[in-house]
Amino acid sequence: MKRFFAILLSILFVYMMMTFLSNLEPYGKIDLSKRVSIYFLAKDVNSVDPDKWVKGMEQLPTERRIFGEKNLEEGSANTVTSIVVNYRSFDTLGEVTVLFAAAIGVGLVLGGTKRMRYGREPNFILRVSTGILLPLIIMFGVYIFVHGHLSPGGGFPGGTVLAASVLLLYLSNEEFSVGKNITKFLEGFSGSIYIIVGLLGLVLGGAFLYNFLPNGEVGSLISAGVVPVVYAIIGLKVGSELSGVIAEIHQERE
Amino acid sequence: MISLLVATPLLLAFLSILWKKQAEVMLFFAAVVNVLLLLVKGFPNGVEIHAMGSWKPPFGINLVLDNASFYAVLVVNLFFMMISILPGKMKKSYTTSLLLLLTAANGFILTGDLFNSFVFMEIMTITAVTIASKRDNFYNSYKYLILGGVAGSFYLLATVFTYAAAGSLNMAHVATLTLSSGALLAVTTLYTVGLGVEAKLFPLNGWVSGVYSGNELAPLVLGTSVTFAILYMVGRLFGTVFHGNGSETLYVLALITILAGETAALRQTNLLKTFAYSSVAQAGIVIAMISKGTEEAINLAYFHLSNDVVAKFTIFLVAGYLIYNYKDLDGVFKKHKVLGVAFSVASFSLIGFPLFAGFQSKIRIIMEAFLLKDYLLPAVVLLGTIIEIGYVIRWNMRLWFDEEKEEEKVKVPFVIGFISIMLAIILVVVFLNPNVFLEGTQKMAKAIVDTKSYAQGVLSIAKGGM
Repeated sequence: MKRFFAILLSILFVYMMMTFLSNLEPYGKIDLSKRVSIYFLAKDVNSVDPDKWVKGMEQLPTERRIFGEKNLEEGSANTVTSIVVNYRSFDTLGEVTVLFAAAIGVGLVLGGTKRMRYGREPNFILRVSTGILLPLIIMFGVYIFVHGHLSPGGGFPGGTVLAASVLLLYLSNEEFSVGKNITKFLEGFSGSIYIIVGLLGLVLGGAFLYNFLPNGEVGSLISAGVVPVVYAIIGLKVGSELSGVIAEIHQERE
Repeated sequence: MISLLVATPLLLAFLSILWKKQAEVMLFFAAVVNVLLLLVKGFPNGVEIHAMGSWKPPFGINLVLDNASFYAVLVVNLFFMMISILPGKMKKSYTTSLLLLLTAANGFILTGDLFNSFVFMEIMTITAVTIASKRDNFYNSYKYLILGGVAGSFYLLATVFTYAAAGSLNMAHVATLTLSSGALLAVTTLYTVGLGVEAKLFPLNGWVSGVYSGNELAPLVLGTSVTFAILYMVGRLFGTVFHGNGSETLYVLALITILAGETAALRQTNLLKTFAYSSVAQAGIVIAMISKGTEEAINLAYFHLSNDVVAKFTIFLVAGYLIYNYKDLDGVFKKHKVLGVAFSVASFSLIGFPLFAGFQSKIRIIMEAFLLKDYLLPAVVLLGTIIEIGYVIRWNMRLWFDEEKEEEKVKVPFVIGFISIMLAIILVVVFLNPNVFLEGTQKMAKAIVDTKSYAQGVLSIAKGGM
């Protein structure tokens, strides 16, 4: 009976999705001028009067911003970054919190005390190559989140790469284990710094997560205001959180 | 001010990792600061927004404080304040999760952005699952995790469809656009499924009994503040943003939910499970009224919801505390008269017995349904009430008058007795003077129905207050 209902529900779901898909606008034929994102692309949000725009009296941006310009409303060269960490930074704060909540859940559910051992000696090649690869991986991770506002990447992938280095250490060394206190400290510390940056914006600019630093020149390393700062914080936070999860998984109850 | 409602608990959640010992104080502090901020502010009587990062809507994310979200956020924070003063044993090592849940519930209510609300719903689901896993209730919280995850993806899918159809994620902006009927059907159906799991709508409520009966903390937070936040969002989305489109599906599902919930409650032999199913049925009544879409109906829906959450908090507090301290509950109220009185008052208020708040909301709901020429809802509500009387009387008889087992009397912390009896008194006060809640819910309903001034308020104020 249960299976029958499951099949019925699945068929209903597939039928529903098929009918809904025909309502979507076909790929590549979307009228960009009707979407809010066109102003993100042009870095031209401040010049629009929202009330007029919503009523259809459109003020479309005339020019695209290019590399090397100064004093724009948003200074990161990577458009995705400018949406994720500046125009919609509050979402990113939320996503960071999602990961935090999940890490806490993993800690509470697994909650081991002793490092799990597999009882076999790691391969010689694995041990030696870890020594060579580890600094490179860490450097790559840091590079990704430091350049988040210039190239594809950012805090989340950078932090994941950092956590990968910790995973490598766990695999190559039976004795290695990350101190729980270190990861917890980094998590809590970087999370609160993100909010403090937001609150600084509230004090200095009158809005939570306001970009209170100068934007600089598009494309240079020190540009885009608080975006690099925030991405560095996110990188640290994601790295320490995922390392904590990896450590948690490698632990067992006594 | 509005952003602080979200930022304070979140900051304290991160800090509570660093200073574990002070975590409980932080939870209390966060809830009290929020309640004080709200009480000092008073009803905003208009639409106030806070544009995040100073990007004006619809381009950035904005938090909206109007009469509706004000009332909802106040209720949520009041409940969290009560939870924060409960004895530490009840919420051991879950304080950070509770702080995150407070953040998420506040953000979910206040946000004026569809994707942002999805993010907060995600946090809410994950922290709720964490809290539900207390007392090794892993299997049930796993079920909840799966259903919550599916609900989250449907909610996200609905948001994607909205963006594809409208080109914007801002609720006020979407509300001003006229979407095609096909797009509206798709979006509202997906939102029904997405919100339905947390709103305990039939057939998506399979997780409720397991999660609510597994420990004493989960039903207290999930059954009261989270339920209020989610049902507020149902009203906001279907009332304000989609102008009542798609509420027929909601209505039908809600009617089935009422009957299914009550009959399931009657069949239970576990105290917490019984009232878990009863809370499913009450959510059904609220959703059925919300889906009617008129101002008075929505007002009564939230009035009933306010009565229900107060009663449910009392019931789950008393029942949860006793269940984990006694092996056998027969005649347990002979030992705990205060708790017993509070429990009975709350459970009779659920039925809608005169003298208690539930009577006021149920009779008004039935009269309003007759006025709207709907005879199905009163029939279903009355049938549900008859079933409800069955199990409420049965449990009260058993807990008060059954043969007492010879167990040591457990000392009940003062806070639990105090909170439960205070809430019971509130239920009586609301019966005598329903305006205590009606004043707030009336304003709330007015704000939810009035799409035009919501959209105007959000879009024409270039910069909001703090």
